[in-house]
Amino acid sequence: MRMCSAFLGLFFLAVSANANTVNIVIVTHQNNAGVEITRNEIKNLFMGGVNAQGLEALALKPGADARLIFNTTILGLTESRVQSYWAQMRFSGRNKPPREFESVETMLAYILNNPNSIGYLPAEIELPEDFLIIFATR
Amino acid sequence: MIAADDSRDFEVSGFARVVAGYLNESTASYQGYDDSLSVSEQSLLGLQAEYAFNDQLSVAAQLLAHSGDNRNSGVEWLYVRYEPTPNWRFKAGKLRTPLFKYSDSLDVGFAYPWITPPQQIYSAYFFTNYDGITATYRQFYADTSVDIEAFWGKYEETSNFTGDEIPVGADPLCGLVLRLQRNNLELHAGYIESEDFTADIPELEQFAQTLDFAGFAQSAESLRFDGKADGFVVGLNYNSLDYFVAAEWSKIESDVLLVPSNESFYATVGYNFYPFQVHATYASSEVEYQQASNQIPLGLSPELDQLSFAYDGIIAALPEDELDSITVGIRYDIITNVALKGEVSWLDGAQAERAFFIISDNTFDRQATLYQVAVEWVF
Repeated sequence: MRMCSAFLGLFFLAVSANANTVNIVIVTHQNNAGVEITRNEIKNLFMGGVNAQGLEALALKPGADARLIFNTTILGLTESRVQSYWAQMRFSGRNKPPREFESVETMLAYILNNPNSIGYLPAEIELPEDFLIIFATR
Repeated sequence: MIAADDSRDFEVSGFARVVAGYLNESTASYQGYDDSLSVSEQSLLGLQAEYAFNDQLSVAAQLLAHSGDNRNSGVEWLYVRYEPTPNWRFKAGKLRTPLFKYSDSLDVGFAYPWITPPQQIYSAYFFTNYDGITATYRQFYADTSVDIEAFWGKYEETSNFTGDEIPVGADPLCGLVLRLQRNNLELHAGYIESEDFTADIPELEQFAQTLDFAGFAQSAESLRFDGKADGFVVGLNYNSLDYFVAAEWSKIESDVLLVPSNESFYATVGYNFYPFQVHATYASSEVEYQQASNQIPLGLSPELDQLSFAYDGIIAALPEDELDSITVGIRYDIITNVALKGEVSWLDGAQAERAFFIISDNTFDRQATLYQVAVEWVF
């Protein structure tokens, strides 16, 4: 048990040291002005579900602070569970995970070229004009 | 797995597992494990290639190299996928049967918490794959993701039924699977059936012909492996940041005398402290054979007595797989696509039955402990 506690402590230390970001925003192209999306719809979309607007979900690569916040507050799942889920979906031919990006800039560039996509980014981001925040965690 | 900027027209991905296991029993084996350490029973490598012609149409193939004696290596999946709208998905080709939660991804150990998923559920059914078509309708309605899949095709494999490889078939084979997901709760229910479930066992057919010839048509017919089979499953999964629960219950029935009805379930609870996960599972199975149909009178002639005893002998030798088990395991996700697992299963089989064991000495008390460690990898 002492070993477990030690691991736990280390883990939380690692998380808190890492997590400058505590909130995230869901960003899309300005073209989608007027589109509304709920937390449940976001979750469904990022787990590969269908949505009425035909939006494409975009993710950051594992290790990004915003991804950890997104997993925790929107999906309510550990990274391990997210990875297991996508392994099952992929190899049973049912679904594929969202595209993953190395950085905020590459994701924004993708949204610029593919206005029908949405992605999560750190809340403190300063967005250029072409983009729109359609959901924010508090 | 995915490079952000690459086109996703052609993708190759894969999974692998190395599993080592040891059973603390010298007079029986379980899932191939005995009292010597073995890494060849469940270790495997799978490769999947997908090519997308456009957003709607793609082809995929999955090849499997398996080191176990009970599994064949080769093409596991080979299909064309057509998605005319995001709500509809059609597949045609060689497919895996999706009845249970993990039956279409059983080889991908990375996808589930155990090393060996509860055998009472996962080794109880025959029709693991089929050649055919499947249609899935998906919708998001009232905060719930709804997924309905119907499949139709035929199953044709050889099965190790009595020690010999014999052809087993189910044609047609069809089924329906419903999956609901709301927040982190998933429910699924599945039904599968075959109107024509056959196996070709020459020794039994010979004996049935002898019975027919002697005028015992009903007894003869009871030994013929030709009938109907159906299965039903319900399951639930709940995942949160801290813990998860999972359960499945299934009932499989057949009107073939040689195939028992099987009722099994498991229940799992687990605790997450990322990157670790600990879990415990209780699983149980009950089987029941139909009433045998021995019409052959005893005491009239030695020949008839011999026939009657032979019939009873066949019935008495039918294997019964009733087993209770408790499994405790740990999973450690070292990096996002590699996990280490350790697992102990306490197996408690019904006395005088087979109970999923292969028994070399009948004094074996049907109790054993299986120890396993595994590396699971997806790429």
